[in-house]
Amino acid sequence: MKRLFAILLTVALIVSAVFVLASCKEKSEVELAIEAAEKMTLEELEAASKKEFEDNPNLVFNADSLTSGVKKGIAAFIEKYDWLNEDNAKYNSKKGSEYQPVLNGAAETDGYVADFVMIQDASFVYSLVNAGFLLSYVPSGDGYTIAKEDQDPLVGVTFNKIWYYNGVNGDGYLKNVWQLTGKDGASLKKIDTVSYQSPLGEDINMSFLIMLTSPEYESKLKESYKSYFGTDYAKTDDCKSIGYHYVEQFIKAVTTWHDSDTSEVKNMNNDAHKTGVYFAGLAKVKDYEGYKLPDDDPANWKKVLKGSGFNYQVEGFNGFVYNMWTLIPKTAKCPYTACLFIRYLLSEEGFAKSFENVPGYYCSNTKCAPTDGTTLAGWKSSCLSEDPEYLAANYDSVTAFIKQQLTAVGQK
Amino acid sequence: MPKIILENVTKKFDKFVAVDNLSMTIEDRDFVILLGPSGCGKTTTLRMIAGLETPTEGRITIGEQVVFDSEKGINVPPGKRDIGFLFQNYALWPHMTVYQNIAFGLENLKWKKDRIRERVNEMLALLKIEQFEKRYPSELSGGQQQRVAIARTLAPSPKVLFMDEPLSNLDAKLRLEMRTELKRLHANTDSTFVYVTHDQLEAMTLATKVCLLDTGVLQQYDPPLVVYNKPNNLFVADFVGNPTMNFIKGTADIQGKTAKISMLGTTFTFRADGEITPVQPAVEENTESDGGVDVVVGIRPEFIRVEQGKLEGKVYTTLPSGMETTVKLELGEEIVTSVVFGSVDYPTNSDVSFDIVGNGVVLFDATSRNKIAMGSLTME
Amino acid sequence: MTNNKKFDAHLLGHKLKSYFSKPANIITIVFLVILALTVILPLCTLLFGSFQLNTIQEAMSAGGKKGDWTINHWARLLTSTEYDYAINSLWLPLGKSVLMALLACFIAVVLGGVVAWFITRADIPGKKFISAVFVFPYIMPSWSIAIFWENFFKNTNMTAGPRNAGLLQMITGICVPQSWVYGLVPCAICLGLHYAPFAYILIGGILRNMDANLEEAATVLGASRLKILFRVTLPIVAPALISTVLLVFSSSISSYTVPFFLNKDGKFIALSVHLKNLFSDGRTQGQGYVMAILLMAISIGILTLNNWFTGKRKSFTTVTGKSGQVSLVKFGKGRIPIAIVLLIIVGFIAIVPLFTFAMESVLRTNADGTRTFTMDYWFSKEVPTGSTKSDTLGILVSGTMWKALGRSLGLSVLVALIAGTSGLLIGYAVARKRGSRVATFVSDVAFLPYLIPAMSFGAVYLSLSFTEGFTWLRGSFILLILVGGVKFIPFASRTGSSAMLQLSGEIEEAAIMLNVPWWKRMGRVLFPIQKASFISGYLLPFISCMRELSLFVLLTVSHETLLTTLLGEYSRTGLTESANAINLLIIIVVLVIQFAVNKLTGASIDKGVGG
Repeated sequence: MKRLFAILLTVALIVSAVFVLASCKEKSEVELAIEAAEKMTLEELEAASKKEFEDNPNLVFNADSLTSGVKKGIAAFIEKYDWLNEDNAKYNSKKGSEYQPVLNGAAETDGYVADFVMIQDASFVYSLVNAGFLLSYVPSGDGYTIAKEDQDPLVGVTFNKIWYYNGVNGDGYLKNVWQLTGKDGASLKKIDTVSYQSPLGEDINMSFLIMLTSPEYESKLKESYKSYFGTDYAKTDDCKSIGYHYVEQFIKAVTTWHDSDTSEVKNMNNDAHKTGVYFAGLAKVKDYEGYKLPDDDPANWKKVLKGSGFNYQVEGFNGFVYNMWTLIPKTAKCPYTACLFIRYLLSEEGFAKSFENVPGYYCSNTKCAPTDGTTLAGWKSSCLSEDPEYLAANYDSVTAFIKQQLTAVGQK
Repeated sequence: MPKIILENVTKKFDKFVAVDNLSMTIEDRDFVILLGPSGCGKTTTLRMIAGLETPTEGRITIGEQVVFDSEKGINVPPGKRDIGFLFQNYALWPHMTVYQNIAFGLENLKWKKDRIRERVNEMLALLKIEQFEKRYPSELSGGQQQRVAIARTLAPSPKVLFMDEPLSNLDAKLRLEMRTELKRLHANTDSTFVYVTHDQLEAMTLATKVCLLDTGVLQQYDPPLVVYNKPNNLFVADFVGNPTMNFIKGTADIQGKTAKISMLGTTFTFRADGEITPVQPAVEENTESDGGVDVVVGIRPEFIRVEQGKLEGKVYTTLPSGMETTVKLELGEEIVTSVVFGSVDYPTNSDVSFDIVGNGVVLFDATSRNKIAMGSLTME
Repeated sequence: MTNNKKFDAHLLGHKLKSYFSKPANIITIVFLVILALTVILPLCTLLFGSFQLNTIQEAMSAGGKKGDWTINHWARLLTSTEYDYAINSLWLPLGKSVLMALLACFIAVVLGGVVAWFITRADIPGKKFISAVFVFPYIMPSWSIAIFWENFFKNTNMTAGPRNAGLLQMITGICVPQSWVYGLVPCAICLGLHYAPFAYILIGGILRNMDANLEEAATVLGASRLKILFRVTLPIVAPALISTVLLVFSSSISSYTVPFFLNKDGKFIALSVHLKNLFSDGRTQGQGYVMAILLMAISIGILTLNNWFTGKRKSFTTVTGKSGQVSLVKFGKGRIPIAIVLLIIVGFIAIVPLFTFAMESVLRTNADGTRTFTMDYWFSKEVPTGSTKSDTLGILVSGTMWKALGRSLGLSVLVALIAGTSGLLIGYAVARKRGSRVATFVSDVAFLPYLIPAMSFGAVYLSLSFTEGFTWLRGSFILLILVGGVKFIPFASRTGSSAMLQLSGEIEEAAIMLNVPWWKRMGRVLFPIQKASFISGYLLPFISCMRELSLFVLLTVSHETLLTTLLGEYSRTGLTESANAINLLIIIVVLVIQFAVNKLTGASIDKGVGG
C-alpha cells in the first residue's frame, strides 16, 4: 500500500512538473497569430481567415458570448464573408455564472472552449488574462480609436446598470441614493418597492455591492449623505466604513430580489399604483414593453427612455458601469478568424449591426459614438465602475459580509 | 352456539360470477370443507363469510347475528364477527415476534397484560412452540410458522375458525402431521371449522361435511362418505375419489326399478335401490331403439373385482402401491380401473376376467349429468 | 515448491474460468469496473477537489499553485467567523434547507402515500384517472411548479399592477400573505408537490406488492382501521417508506431552481443556492466540493441509519399468497366525497398548472396591462424584437425548437436505454447472486448517483471533460448521454432488482436446462415475463431526462442544445409566453410517449419503481 502510494505520488509529481514546464513554454501559436494579425491589413487578415478554413474544411468558429448582440454580429459576419456559413461559424449564448466553470476548466487544462469569448466579471476575466489563457487582439487602423486602458485586456462593449423607476407615476422621485436605504425612518420617501437582482445569481450585482465598499467611492457616498440628511456621516454602528453601512442598509431596503432584469424592465410600468425602483441594465430598455425598436432617429430613444423612467442626476451615483471583454482563448482553433471577427464587431458597421444603436451599449472603439445623446464618459463620472484589483483582493471578505446581510434579511 | 347460514349468496366480480346463489347451513361444531377445483369460488365463499369480501347479493347469518344482508344493507366488519382466519401463507407480521403476533388479537380485545401473557403461553404450549416465543417469523421454518399462525388465530377463542388452504405450503409429511393435529384441535376447541381446499383426500379425512362447488355453483353438501358413495352428479363423482370412478357410457331401457343397460358390448340388468328418476328421452329423432336413453354408469374401482367373472379383458397396466394395486383393464374401446387389495402384479397385455360387484353402482343421466339411481349390476 | 505454485495457478485459472462462465458474475465485474469509472472516480474528484486549489482564482487568492493541497475550503466553510461566514453560508442555510427538505418529504410522502393508499386499498371511483393524472407534476420540470405557484398566488397586495394579480386573486379576490408565495414554506410545498407523484409511485408499488393477507389477518382479529395502519401496514412498509423519504429528501435539498425562483423577498436562501453560487464561482469551487460532500454525507447517513434500524431480522419477505384478491376498504357513502376531494387535489396540482401554462402561452400583455388572445407564441414566424432569443417567436415554427426537441428526445431515449439496461442487468446480477458482497456493493454504488446533487454531478463531469485523455468528451453529446445514463441508473436499478427478485430462479434454470444461451434467456424468457416492470424502468429515466436542466446546463455547448436549456434561456430572457408554451410542449411530449408505451407494452411510470 505504501509503495503504491509512493508510486502514485511520484507520478503525480512528474506530471505536475511537466505541466509547470509546459506553462513556461515559448509563446503559443495563437499568441503568435494574434501578434501577426495586429500587424496585418484588413485584406491580409481576411485572407488569413479564409486560409484557416481552406486548410481545414471541418473547422468551426465558435463565438461564446453572454450578450446576444454577438448573435446578430455573427449573422452579419457570415453574410459579409463567403467562406463562412451557419454551419462553420456559431454563436453560443452563455450565462455568466454557468460559463465561468467552463472557461476555468478549459484554462486549467489548456483545453479548447471557443475561438472567441465575450464575457464580464472583471476579477474573473483578469485572473484568466493574467494566467495567459485569454488573449487580446487590438484592432487598429482608420476606423478604430480604442483607449489605452481598454486595450489589455481588450474591452469590447461597456454596459451599465442604472436605477430605473416607474415612469407612470411621475418622474424624478428618486433623487438621492440614500433614499434607497430607508435611513430616514420607515419609508423610502415615496418609493414603495426596490427591486434588485440577487447577487447570488448575478455576478455583476455582486461586484456592484463589493465596489460600494471601496474607499474610492467613499466621497460620493459621504457627499450624498450630507446632501440627503443634512449632516456629515458619523460612524454609529459596527460597519467598517460608510460603504459597508450603505450596503447593509440597502440590502435591508430591497423588497424584491428578482431573477431577470429583462422581465423587470419589461413590466416596470405596469405597476400603476406604486412607485418602484428597479436596478437593471440600461440596454434592457429595448425590452421595455410597449416600445418597439425605433428608427435610427435618436430622438425616438429619448422618448423611450423618458417613458421607461430614469433620472440622469441621482445624487450619489446613477448606477454601475462594467465591461464585457472580447477575447481570444489561447486554445482557439481559428485565431485569425477570431481576430477578424473582433475587428468586425468593433467596427462602425459591425457594431451597428450587432447592437443596433440601442442605448446602453458603449463600444470601446470610440468611433462608434452612441446616437442617443448619452456618453460613456458621462456615465463613468456619474456611476460606480468596477475595479478588478479591488474586487479580487476583497472578494472573500466582502462577500462574507454581503451574505451576512442577506441572511439577516431572512431572519428579520 | 353459532350456526352459519348462507342464503342466496351471490358474488360477482364485474361480469364474472364467482359464487352463484349459494345457500347452505353450517351447523355448530361442524368441520365443513369447501372443496372444488381452483376458481370454483370456494375461497370467495369463505372470505365472504369471514367478511373479507362483500357479497353482491344475499344474506349471511352467524349464530343469532345477521352479519350480512344486501337488502337491509347490513355488513358487520370481520373483527366483529367473532371468527378466526388462517391464511394459506400464514400472513404472519414480519416485524413482530411470535409472542407479539399471538398477542395482537388479544390486545384488540383490551385484555389485561397478564391475562394476555397467560393465554399466549397456553397457546404456545398447545402448539408446542414455546421455545420460539422471541423469534421473528423469518427465523422459523414453514411448519413452525404454520403453528404460530394457528396459535394467533386460536388465541381469542373464536367461535368459528376459517382456514384457507392452510396446509398447501407444507411438504407432504408435515401436511399429514398437521392434518391429524387439526382434527384433534377441532375436537378439543369446540369451534366450528370452515376449511377451504382443493385436495379431495384432505376433505375426506377431515370434514364432517363437504361442500363441493364448481364454477360458483353448489354441487353437493353432505358428509364425506355420502359425497363419495352417493355423488349427486358426474362432476362430484369424478372429483372425489382416487383413483377416480369408472364412467361407462351406455343406453338404458328403464322400466320401473330396473333398467336394461347396453354397454361394454353386452347387456346388463340394473336393479335400483329405489325409484329411478325419470329421464326425458334425449331428443326424439335420436331415440332409435325402443325408447332407450343415454346414460353413464359410474362404478367405483373397488367394485370391479378382477380374476373371476364373466367379463373378459386385457391388462392395460398395473400400478402397485404396496397396500393396494390399481389395475387398468382394457375392454374393447373402454379402459376400466380396478383396485385390488395387496400387491399383485399382472403382466401387461395378459388376459383377465373380471366382474362388477356390490350395490354401489351409480346411474347418471348422460344429458343432465345428474344421478338418477343407485343399485347393482348383473350381466345377462 | 514450484510444483505447488504451478498447481495453484492452474487451480486459479479453473476457478476464474468457472467464475466467469456465469453471466451474473461477468455482469457484476463489468459493472464494478464501469461504476468505479463513472461513479467512484467522480466522487474521488469531489473529495480531492475539496482539499486542493482547483482553479486559477483559488490559486491566486491563496498565493499557491493550482493542485496544491489545502484544508482552507473545509476550514473556511465550516468554521470561518469572518462576518459569520460559516454560519451564513453553511450552517444556517443547511438547517433551513434540511427543514425545507423534511417538510417537502412530509408533504410528498403524506400526499403520495394517501393517494397510493386510496388507489390500492379503497373502493373509490375514478382511480384510473386519478392515478394517471397524479403523475403529471413529476413530468413537469420542477421549477415550472414554482412558476405556477407564483402565477397562482401572487397578488396586488405584494406588488401593485394589473399584471401582478394571480389566478387566485382574479377568481376569488383573495390575497394571500407574501410568506405564502415566497420563502421556505412555498419552496417546500412546491418540491413536495413535485415529488408527491414520485412518492406515490414508490409507495403504491410497495402497497401493491404487500401481501394483503397481512392486513386482513389483523382485520379478522378485530383491529381498527387506524390500528392496522399504524401497527401493521406502516411498520411493514417502513423500510421502503424511509428509502422513499430519503430519495425525496436528497432531491429536495439539492434542488436549485425552485428555491432560487421563490426567493424574491430574500427571506430564505437555500443551501443549494449557496452551493450553485460556490460552484459557479472559480474563487470558491473548492468550497462547492465541500458542500456537495456534506450533502451526500447527510443522505448516506440517513441511508445507513435506515439500514441499521431495519436490520435483517425484521426484513420484509413477500410470500406469494392470494394477495391478488385484495379486498378494498369500503367507504360506502363516503366514497364519492373522498373521490371528489382527491380529484380536487389532483386537479389543482396536475391540471391547473397545465391550464395556466396553456393560458399564459396564448395571452399577450399589452402596454396598458390588458391582455389579448394570440396564437403568436405558438405559430408566429416573426422574429422576436428586442434581444434575440430565437429564430421565430412562435415555438412550433421555430427550427431551433424542433432541433432542440429532437436532441432532447434522442438524448432521453439513449439515456433511458443505457440506464434501463444497466438497471436490468444489475438487477439480474443482484437477484442471481443474492447475498454476495460484490453484487450488493455494485447495487449500492449504482444508487450513489442519486445522492449527488445534479449540479455537482454536472460540475464533476465538466472537470472530467477537461482532463487529459477525456478532452474528446468536452461539449460532446456523448458526455450528456454518459452523465444522464449514470445519473439515472438508480431508478432503473431499483426497478430492475425488484422485478428480478420477483422472478424465481427456476424460470431461468428451466431455460438453462434446454441449453438456451444467456442473452436469449434474458430476451426471450426473463424480459417478457416482467416486461411491464422492466419497461417502466426505462420510462422513469426517460422522463427524468426529458425535464432535467441542472445536470446538463454546465455541459451543453449551446442553450439551443436541449429543450430544457432552451426553456431556461427563454425564461431568463423574459420571453415567458414562449417559455410557457415550451413547458407545455415538454409535458405533452412526455405524456404522449408514456401513453404510447403504455398502450403498446402495458408499462407505465405509475407502475414503475417497485414492480
